[in-house]
Amino acid sequence: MNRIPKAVVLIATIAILFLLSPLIGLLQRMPWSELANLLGSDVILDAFLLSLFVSFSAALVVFVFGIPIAWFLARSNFSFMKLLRAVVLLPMVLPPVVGGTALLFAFGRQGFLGKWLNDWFGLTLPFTTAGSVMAAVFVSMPFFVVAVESAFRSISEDLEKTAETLGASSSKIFLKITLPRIFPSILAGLALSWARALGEFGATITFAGNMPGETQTLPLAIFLALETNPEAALALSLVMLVTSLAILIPFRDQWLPSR
Amino acid sequence: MWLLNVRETVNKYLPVFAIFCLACFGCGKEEQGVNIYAASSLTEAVSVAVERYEEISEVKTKVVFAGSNHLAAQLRDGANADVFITADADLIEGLDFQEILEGFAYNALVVVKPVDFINKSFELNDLTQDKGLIAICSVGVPCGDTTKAKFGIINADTYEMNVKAVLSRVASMEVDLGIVYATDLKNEPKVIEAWPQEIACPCVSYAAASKGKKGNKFSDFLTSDIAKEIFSDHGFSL
Repeated sequence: MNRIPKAVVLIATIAILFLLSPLIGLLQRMPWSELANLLGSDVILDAFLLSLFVSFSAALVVFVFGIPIAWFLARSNFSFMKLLRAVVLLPMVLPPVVGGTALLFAFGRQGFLGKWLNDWFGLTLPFTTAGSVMAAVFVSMPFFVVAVESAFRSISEDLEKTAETLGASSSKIFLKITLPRIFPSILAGLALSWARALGEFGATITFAGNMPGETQTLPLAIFLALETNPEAALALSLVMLVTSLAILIPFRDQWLPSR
Repeated sequence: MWLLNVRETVNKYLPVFAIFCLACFGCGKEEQGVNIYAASSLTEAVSVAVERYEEISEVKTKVVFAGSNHLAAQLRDGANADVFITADADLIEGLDFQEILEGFAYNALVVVKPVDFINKSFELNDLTQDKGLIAICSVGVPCGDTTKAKFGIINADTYEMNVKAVLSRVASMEVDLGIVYATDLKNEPKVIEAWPQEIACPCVSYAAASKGKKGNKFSDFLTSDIAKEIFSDHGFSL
């Protein structure tokens, strides 16, 4: 390993301290002695299980729909491409509560699509777990698409062209050649969007509401507890912290092999 | 990540947060005026009251509106207010105030529906049945505790963190029924009574905690005839 310049070490240390301080603050205020009691409550267990369900469902949806979008954005070339790319990234810059409100305008009971779903199928998406998943998908999709799109761009098309001249079908090329080559980026994108989905708050509470066991994910439970029972909020935060670390640390080795 | 998200919602929760930020920036000048923290359910009434107070006393005021619990948490964490008007007197405990004025105004709860659903009829029993979508305040915040005291167990579809969130669910027709304050019913034309109801307690009872000369003076103003008239005009019981 090369010697790292002193200035880099200094700046990196400052940045790491900045990122760590809130975490230390959190741990320092943690009511360790009451933790077992707090963690044993049904509210926390419900929120934890729901959060896992919602974030993994969202990651699955993001995976299934994100790869085709990313491929399309990376490989096709038509005039509205820039606009389309911006639209796909929009949820990243939009404040999540605005995203949630926009979801209501589309899929809410009075929304232009939701009205139709409600009238024809009696389907109401807000205030359901499906609504929470939708909100999570909306905010986390861009993280996956960005990661995978740049991977699609970075690989050369030579192998694919060769396979094509050898007579492989386009779907076979995609599945057997293109996808395996970008596998690490897919994992990285999934980890990012899963983490975003786990932490999702604004769009969820706006679109899906807050109902224990149905739409009350960990971040919602934390926000409510913060105002009414700060100690429970800290315990919940610890649950979130441990969950995300437990899943992200092994995942990280997958896409960034440790030395 | 979640801390970030908490901030995002605070942003949504009330444009009020913006006012709070402005108040922060203006901290240097705080000696000049009265800093008031007031429960969000008082937004309309206290805004008017403060305007009158400025005219009468020629004292500048700064008001921050947010949920009572939220404000109390900020005060505990070092925010500075001369007056704290809360929908839950218990929240004053442990805060640094000298005078406490309890029960200067009351707010009853009322079941409302969207004005566009004027032809849909509901009754009290619908609150415990799975007939329509219902939004109420979460237990733990003043409007939620009072909702529980008045109506008992409700078959709700969403438990909101403050009464304004419930109100906006009903006003936007995303739910059929919501339980809000009588003052909200009076101030929001998009909602109407779900069925004829008597405006009666159990109520939320407002308390004002104050400190310093200018804080205590404003607190006294809250029981003046002028303030009383403003509060009752906005639908509060006195």
